[in-house]
Amino acid sequence: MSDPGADAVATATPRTGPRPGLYVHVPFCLRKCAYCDFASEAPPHPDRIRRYLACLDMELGRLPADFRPGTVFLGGGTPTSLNDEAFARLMDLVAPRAAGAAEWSCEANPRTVTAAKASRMRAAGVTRVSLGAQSFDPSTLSFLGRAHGADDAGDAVALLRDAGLDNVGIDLITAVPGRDADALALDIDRALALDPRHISAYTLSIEDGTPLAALVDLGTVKPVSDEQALAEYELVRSRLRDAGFVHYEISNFARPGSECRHNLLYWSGGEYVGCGPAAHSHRGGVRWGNVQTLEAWADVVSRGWTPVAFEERLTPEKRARETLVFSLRRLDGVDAAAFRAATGFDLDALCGPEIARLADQGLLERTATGVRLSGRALFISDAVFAELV
Amino acid sequence: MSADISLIRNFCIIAHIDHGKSTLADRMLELTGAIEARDMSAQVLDAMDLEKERGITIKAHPVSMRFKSRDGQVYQFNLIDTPGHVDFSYEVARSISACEGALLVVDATQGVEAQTVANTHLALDHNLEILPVLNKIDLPSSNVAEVSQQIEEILAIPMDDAFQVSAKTGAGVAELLEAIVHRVPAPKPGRVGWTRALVFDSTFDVFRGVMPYVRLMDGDLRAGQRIRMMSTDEEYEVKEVGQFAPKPFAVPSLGVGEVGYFVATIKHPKEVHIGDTVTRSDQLANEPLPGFRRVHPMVFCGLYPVNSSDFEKLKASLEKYNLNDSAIVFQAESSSALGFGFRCGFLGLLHMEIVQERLRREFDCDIIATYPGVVYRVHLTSGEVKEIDNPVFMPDVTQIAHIEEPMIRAHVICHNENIGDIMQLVMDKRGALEKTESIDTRRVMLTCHMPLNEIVVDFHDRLKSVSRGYASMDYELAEYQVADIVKMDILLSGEVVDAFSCLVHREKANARGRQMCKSLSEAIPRHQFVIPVQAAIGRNIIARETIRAFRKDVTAKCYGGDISRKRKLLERQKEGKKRMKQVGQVGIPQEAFIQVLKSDT
Ligand SMILES: Nc1nc2c(ncn2[C@@H]2O[C@H](COP(=O)(O)OP(=O)(O)OP(=O)(O)O)[C@@H](O)[C@H]2O)c(=O)[nH]1
Ligand code: SF4
Ligand SMILES: [Mg+2]
Repeated sequence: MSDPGADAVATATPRTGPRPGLYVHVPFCLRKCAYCDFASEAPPHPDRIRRYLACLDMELGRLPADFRPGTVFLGGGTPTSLNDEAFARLMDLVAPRAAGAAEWSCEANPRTVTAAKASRMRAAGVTRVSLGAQSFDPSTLSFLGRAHGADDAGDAVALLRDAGLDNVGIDLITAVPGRDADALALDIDRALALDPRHISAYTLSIEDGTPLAALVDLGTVKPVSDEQALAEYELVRSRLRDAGFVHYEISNFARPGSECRHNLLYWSGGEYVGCGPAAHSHRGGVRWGNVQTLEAWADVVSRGWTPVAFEERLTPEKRARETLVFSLRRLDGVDAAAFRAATGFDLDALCGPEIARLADQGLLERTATGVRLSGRALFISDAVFAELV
Repeated sequence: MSADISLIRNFCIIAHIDHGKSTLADRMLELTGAIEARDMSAQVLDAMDLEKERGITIKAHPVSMRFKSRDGQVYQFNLIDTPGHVDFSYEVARSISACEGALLVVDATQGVEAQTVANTHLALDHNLEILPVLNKIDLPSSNVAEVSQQIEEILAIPMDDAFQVSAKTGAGVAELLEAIVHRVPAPKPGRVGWTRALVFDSTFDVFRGVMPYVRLMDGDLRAGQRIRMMSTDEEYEVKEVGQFAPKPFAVPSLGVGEVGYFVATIKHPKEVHIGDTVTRSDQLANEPLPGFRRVHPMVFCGLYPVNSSDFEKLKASLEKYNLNDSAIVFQAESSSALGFGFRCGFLGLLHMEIVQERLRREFDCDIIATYPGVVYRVHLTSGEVKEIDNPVFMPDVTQIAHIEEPMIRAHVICHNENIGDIMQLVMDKRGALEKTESIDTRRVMLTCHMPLNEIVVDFHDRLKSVSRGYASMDYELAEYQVADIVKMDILLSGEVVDAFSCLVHREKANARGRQMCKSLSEAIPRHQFVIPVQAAIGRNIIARETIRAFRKDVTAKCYGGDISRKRKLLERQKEGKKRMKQVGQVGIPQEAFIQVLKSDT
């Protein structure tokens, strides 16, 4: 097996720009949600967790000694689905790597936040917790197959605040079949009532192979129409803007200054290294992905190899186009000078005619320094990106 | 090879579609050892992927075999397997001119069908010795006695010495091979001092250039000779001569009576004409061979490169393709929607479909086709008569006195119980029944007079479906007849897309317009804006559909930094868009051009 990961991590000359990120994938959940196609298993089995932690230790241990991430993100799956003891061990493994990071986020499921986990996070250096509330409506939660109740998010936020973790983000889900706009408005209000600094509002997507997709195929569940999905998106936008949030990425809103810096790395062509099964990395001009399943990943890592399932090295032009379209996910758009500095390409030389045409159609807007998506392009942004990629 | 002429037998296999020609050829190749067992596959001569996929023969395939007869002599058999579908009867006609005999295969479970009749007449016109072969006798449903009687009655072929074979099991095939020695005449010796070879087909090989397929009627051909093409008087030097096994293999010479190919210093596909006579510069013939009756394409459509810059590539591809399919005609034209392309004429709808598919596969051409039509005679008020095969050139209605459309005479063979449905279908297609003859106790032959335009699009498919696959059809061009033909346009976002314009009978216009709008509104993906799809006759809108704008095309979450996957999805989306034809602001996928043909009116 080739070893692009270690290679890139070890030899990449430090570049200007933000420090790289570290992503750690925790592949466990309390139970599988009906719409989920992420790499996670449920419920967590103690033996599997032990094996996971042992191998994660090895994989983290192989990061170069001088790898100092600027941001850390623990995602999954659900990191907090581990019991107090295993969670403490997870914190112990990641903390040395996170030392000096300006931001350390951890995803949490509302039901699985305990006082012990909260104080452990605080002690380890976690700076923000992203709570997967999704909804506060019992029937929506049960439709989605979420492993928590309507009031769990409030309790979790209290526990986190008690432990001194003030920077809490909340995830909401929109375009849920069978839920009307009033119920969504209520969900937004209840999320705002918890005073989060960050809100991610993801449109539900029906992924092949999930139980939800099976129900749709059977005709039992009727997906929300595009028109309604758009209406819900606009509702979220206007409510959150009114509440003082900045809409900074297609699905993300934050109090000024509380944007998730780690996620911004993804959108801006930044570098990051992922550990754990199915984690992705981008470093030294190479993108690679770890093997998907826990067994395969653990097997490879425990033999001392790198668990890389695929890698790709893009031509400079492809990289530039990739950077362009992912940067456009940010509402402030792309800065032409920064783009040239990062990719070596002049925006107009790369795709001037396409930009002009999209601007004509009212989908892109020229700004003083570059270009950004128009408001009405946000919800059809893939169609715009497909012209530019 | 220049074999002893008395030891050469040239014959083709002719039949209705699917009666087992290619399978019979398989058994012959096996029994004569022409193809080793390990190289054998079902219908081995159907070498094109397209032939394999569809299970039909599209091209005539020549192949040479050596057969050791019971008389102790080794004979050279040159067999040509031919297609059975009506659209490819031109292939049969050319093959026949290279042969002295024909094996007329009739499926003993089906009996005589439309192409059995048509191809038998072709062979008789060329004075070929016909050996009737009843095939598929391994099947319990075969009915040798009844089918023999049909052949005697309908085709007037005596069945006393008919053969009964199973091309599948090989039963009876050895006897058939032996009989070919005795019943197919050896080629005539030809004229001394002349060399004449009939070019009956050709292909283009990237390494060797043009490879004409020839039948030597007089004299011989070998490498190093100078030859002359009699239609152009151009001279070339022969580089190689050879035969087929079934792949081409070089031989020292081709003698009189033999079938094979040659390679010469021919640079351009256009320099070779199918039906031309090749003669030797040192043995010039005064008179060319009869050649072939020109075939007249019946169905026309525009072929355009998806990417306008590929016009030259399409042109070169059509020229090369034309070598291997001399039945197509093409001429440059332009469309405001599609740019520069070609107006092409085909022998039928299957032919049109196959040509497009072969251009895509064998020449890597990304093409789209416009709505097919026929040639109308437009009588102008000035007295002038114009032949119009492209709706775009239809004169203004004010200048038109009347329009005539081409009619056909179709012969449909079907089971008695389907007569009602088929007559209904014929009437739907503005046709009339002229004659009904019974073939046997269960089947009849209907002779119908119909407008060609009506069978262009889906007549054949519907015939098959109402008869559950049992009806067969053959047709020939009849006369022109006055008809109330109008030009119908399709508008996208208010703009006429000339590629979709078509000429239809006034009575059919509304239904066709609705159908086309509906198919287009389904085949054209939603855009960021609303697209009205309209059908119009002049300024009169006769049908309308609306393609709603799409509202949602967004990736909510890029999970865990998996940028690669998302980027690849976007790249695929972009590729899909690129393969669409951009007409104004509207992207039209290639499928849309095919979808509009699938009307049910
Ligand atoms: N049972 C049986 N099936 C046969 C026999 N001969 C041919 N078939 C089958 O009939 C079908 C058509 O055979 P082909 O040899 O492709 O027929 P064809 O006449 O070459 O058809 P076209 O070239 O398309 O006109 C195939 O599925 C053969 O396997 C036979 O003797 N017995
Ligand atoms: S919590 Fe998230 S990762 Fe876990 S099953 Fe639900 S959607 Fe999937
Ligand atoms: Mg065949």
